[in-house]
Amino acid sequence: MKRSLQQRLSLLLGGAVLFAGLVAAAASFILAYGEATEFQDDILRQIAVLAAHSSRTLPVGAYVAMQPPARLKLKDTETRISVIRLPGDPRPDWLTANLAVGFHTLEAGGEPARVFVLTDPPGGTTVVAQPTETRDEIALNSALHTLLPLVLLLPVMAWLIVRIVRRELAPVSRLAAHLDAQPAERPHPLSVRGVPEEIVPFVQAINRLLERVSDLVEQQRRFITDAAHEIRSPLTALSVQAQNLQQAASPEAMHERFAPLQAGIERARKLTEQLLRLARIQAGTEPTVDVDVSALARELIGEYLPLAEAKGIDVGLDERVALTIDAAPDNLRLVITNGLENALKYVPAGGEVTIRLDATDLYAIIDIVDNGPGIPEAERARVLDPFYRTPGTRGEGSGLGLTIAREAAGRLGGNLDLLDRPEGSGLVVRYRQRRAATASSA
Amino acid sequence: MRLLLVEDDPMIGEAVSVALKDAAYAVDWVEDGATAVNTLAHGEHQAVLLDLGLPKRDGLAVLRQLRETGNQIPVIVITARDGVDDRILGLDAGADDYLVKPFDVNELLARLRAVVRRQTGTADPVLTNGTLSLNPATREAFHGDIAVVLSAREFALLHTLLLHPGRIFSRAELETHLYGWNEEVASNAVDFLIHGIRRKLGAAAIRNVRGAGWLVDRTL
Repeated sequence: MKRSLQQRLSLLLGGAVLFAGLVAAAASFILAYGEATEFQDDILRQIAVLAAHSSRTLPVGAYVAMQPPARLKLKDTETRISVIRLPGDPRPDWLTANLAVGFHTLEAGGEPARVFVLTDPPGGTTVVAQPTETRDEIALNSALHTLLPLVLLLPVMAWLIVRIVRRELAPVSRLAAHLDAQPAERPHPLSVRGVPEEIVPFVQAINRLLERVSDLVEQQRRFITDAAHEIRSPLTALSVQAQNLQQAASPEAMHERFAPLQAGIERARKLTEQLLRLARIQAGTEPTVDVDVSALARELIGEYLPLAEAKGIDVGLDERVALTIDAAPDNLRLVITNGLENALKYVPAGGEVTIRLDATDLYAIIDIVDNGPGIPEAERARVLDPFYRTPGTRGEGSGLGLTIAREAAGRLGGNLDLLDRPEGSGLVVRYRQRRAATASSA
Repeated sequence: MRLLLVEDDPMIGEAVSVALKDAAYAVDWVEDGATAVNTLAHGEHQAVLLDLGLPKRDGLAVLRQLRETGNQIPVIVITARDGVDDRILGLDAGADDYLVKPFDVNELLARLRAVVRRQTGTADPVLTNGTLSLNPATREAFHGDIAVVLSAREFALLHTLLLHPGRIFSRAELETHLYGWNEEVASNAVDFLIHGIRRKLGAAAIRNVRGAGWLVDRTL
């Protein structure tokens, strides 16, 4: 359901005003009607008193002379009030003798009428009658007149409400238009000027979000530039190696030049693969399962054993606890393999690389410990950046290994930290994840 | 002609060295900026191929220092930074030319010939002293009505002499121009090459000054 604040406010306020208006109208109608009825009773009484009085002070002839002879009973065509003087006037059949002094509502001449009876001291009786229908009509008319201003006011109120609501919500519409006009890749923060106080926190939250989006976009842009840049190195090597092969003067030279070309292709392949991995980590949402880290570590050590032995590096496992964690298996594998590859790259022959599994009450910990040269404190934050290589290292690596490990760690919901090996020179690549599953002591 | 290649990427360094040696250059390859500066201080090289992203000392810093110390050696900057600003920065720092990775080896060689030619003050791609001519692009040599293609080393030697007609080069000097650090030089290598060139172009092409060395005649 679409929830337009403007529409809702207009409807609710309009409804409230209409309701209040109707209640007020009903009340004023009822009051005015009652008032008009009372007023008419007063008129009947006054006419009766006046008629009684005039018959006493004026001679009968004078009174009769005032009236047309044909209309002995005084009767006004508009108000239809009739005055009957007894015993002078003929008694209508509805006028019974026992009618008490005061107001009565009774059937008179085929229609209901309001009757006022007044007795004069000399024995005369004055009766003033008016049909109820006429009275009601007059009362209704006068009551309806009191409704007129209210009826005129209602549309004005409705128009004002719509106008006011629209005007007060205009800043919101402006903000929306401003947001819509933003370029996606570099959004500008929204201005809080002229924005109602209640909406300011919301605008600020949007601005914070925009800033984060901007940062992310900038980071991605830099990554793409860097990646394009990085791809040039293996391409350069490949192109020169291919031309060297073409220039080879003898089959022996050709054979000799073939190996570097293959190495160049391997390097380009590796870089492409790592870029893809990184993209996949950033895009993917792999489901998590319970991973037996101890088994995974054994498998990976087995995988890297030939490489380690070829370089004269002793690789091993230090399983302080048997570790099982809830994780996406491929990402966890990337964390450990990239940590291992990094260690095997920088540890000199005769060195040692150990995968250490440990757990505290809160965390499961996977350490890849080496006794290589380590990474200086100042470099540690940067080596996690894409394509960054520690100055002075031979530049054949892609500079993506630890970045991939960090990204994969982030996806897993854990952290990747680089630490000094406490026992001496060397690096500890530590993956730490909050424990959800059990880790029993070995 | 002996070149210094400054490139920190081992694979590219290796491949470019091979390519340059194929093209009859003597090549020494160093992998960082500091070593490059130290090496160039010896003045053994006739041109530098300089990568900008170097460890220890950035390529631009190396270039600036070279020019500040008055070193006029031709420098071709080779880099993966291809922004216009980067190129301007490189050229303003004193580079003679600029090549963006990945590049074609033939383009690199052509640019190398061009900066060396400009260094000698001629716009003509063919080096000559009036009687003897050499086309560096084709390794063709001309003497009188003889036109012949020289081998890589023969070309390198004659090229060295023709860059400075009238100047006498000793055996040791010729050896430094022709061979890199790691190359074995046979004791009679220079004699062997001179003999080869004379056989192809005639004995008068290169003159020998007893006890001093070899030269080609000054331009008439």
